[in-house]
Amino acid sequence: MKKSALLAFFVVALFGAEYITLNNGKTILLKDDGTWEEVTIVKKGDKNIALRKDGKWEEVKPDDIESADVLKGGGTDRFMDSKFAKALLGKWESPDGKIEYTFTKDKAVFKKGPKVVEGKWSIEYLDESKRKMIVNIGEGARLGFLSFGGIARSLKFSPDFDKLYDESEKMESLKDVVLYRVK
Amino acid sequence: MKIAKLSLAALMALGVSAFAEVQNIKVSGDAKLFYGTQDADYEQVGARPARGDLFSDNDSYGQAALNIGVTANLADSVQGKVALTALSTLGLENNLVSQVWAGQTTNTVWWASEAWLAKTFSKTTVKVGRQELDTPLAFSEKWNIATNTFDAIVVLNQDLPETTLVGAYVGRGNGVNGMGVVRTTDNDGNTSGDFFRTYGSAIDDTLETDLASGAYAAGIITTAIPNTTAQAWYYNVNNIATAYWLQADVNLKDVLAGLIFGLQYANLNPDNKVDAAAGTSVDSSSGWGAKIGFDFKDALPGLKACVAYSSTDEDGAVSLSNTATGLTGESKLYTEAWWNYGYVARPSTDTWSVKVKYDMKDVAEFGAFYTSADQDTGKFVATPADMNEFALTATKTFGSLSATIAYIYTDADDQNYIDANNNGEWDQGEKSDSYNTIQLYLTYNF
Repeated sequence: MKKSALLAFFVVALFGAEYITLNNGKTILLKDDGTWEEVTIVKKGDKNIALRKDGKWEEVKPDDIESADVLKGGGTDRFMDSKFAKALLGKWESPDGKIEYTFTKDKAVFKKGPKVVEGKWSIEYLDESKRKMIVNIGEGARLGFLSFGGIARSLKFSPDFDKLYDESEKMESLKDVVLYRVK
Repeated sequence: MKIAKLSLAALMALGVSAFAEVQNIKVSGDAKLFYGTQDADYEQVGARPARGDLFSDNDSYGQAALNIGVTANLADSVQGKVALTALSTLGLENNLVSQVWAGQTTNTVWWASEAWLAKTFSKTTVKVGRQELDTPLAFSEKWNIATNTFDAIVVLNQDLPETTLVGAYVGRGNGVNGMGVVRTTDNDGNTSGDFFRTYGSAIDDTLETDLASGAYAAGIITTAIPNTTAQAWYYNVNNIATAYWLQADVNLKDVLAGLIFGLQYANLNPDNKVDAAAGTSVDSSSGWGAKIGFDFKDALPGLKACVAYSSTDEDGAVSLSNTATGLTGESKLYTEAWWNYGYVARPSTDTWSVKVKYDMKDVAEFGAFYTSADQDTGKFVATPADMNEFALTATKTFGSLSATIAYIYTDADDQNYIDANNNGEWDQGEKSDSYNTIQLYLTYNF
């Protein structure tokens, strides 16, 4: 009995962190050999029991079942919880007022002279070490890495995050365009 | 054939290799429909009998344009863009209009307006191919339904702190003088084929010479001086002219929040290589401008105003305007008019302008622009022409659709000549009359 309890403890210790509950409610066991199998978690008293398809079972502590951190939207939203996305929120403007970006949680507006693009936004690419990102505004549709509609702008934060360098504008106008937060 | 197959295979391999490192590929563009009408009696746009009535087909101009482009951000700091522009009248010339905005043709035409690759090495960027440019004396004009572009090699360097060095070679361009802005015929007059010509040709046409052979430009833009953006540019339009442009824009927020000040000076020297007036030596043209602007963001958010003054030398022979569109088009002087380009940068001209913009939140963006250009006789100005313009605009966006309506009052000595002799002919040199213009700009971004 003691041996069984000891074995059960080691099994739980070994596999406890390998249980993941997916967004669809199913729980899987990640095995050491690189494969996985679906398991059923049942309650027995105050204990969680994982029932495996090979007929074996083991007790699992609640803390050993992790929730899956699924990437959203095929990757386009993956940086939206980053500090870069939060730091973008607000209104940014070039000193001459010719270029404007307004970022809110759900919508962004880009203005350059008569050109106005607005709609949902996301960070397509982020290089945290260089503080560079590609911001996608007003996308209409997506097919893999192809983005249709809207505008993609390459922006870079200053080290203290109080200025934005418009790298796309530099490529178009040959000037180092700095944007300042005005709201 | 084998070479072709090999090249194709190499291209595919390169393509796959590049796509594997793709960070973003954006397919986007815009569709435009522009319309304008005026009540001028004289032929202001195109050769036709004007009727002097707003909205009559003989006094109106309209066109549609489609721009579609693919922009790619690849690994290793490589960027690229390919864009096509197409112009069509949609048949409007059959009943609603009698002239077009750009291209001076009612044929449907299209061309590759951009095709460039750019690579960044440390703090140096090289951009090669067909591209837009934005420098004081060689730039892409954005006011029309189509934009002129350049075949150029541009190098940017930012090794100096807060400073950008620019070097450029411009080989060809499709800019033309006048309303057309872009050339839509090849050298044989066909509306298909290659519309780009050796840079300098737009000036070459004006001066009836055959000297164009490209241009070089070098510039330095720095923000090293606190609250100031200073820039200096030098140009050599081969065999035609040399020029330089100096400008400083200062944010006077330490004096008063929202206050800005700007100063600019330009000099364009035909260097006697171009004989603008037969038998007369040609002096350089020079001019300066100043502006003071204020952002009323604390008192009335969205309201901005600017007052500017410019003056050009009376001995000058040519205008201080865009060399890409033949020195008759848009100028980067602070006083440039909203619609009537070609006046403020002429020799022997003093100009005042007042510009007010108000972005009324959730309503529309409004603009009011007044320009008064006063030209005197000069060494190369025998018949001076004054111009006064007042323009009102309102812009509203509806999702992806942007709509602008504009009203322009024009009173220029060399426009809309009246039939003073009452002989049924509108002779230049007779008295001119003011006229009104209404324009509608619709742009759908996709």
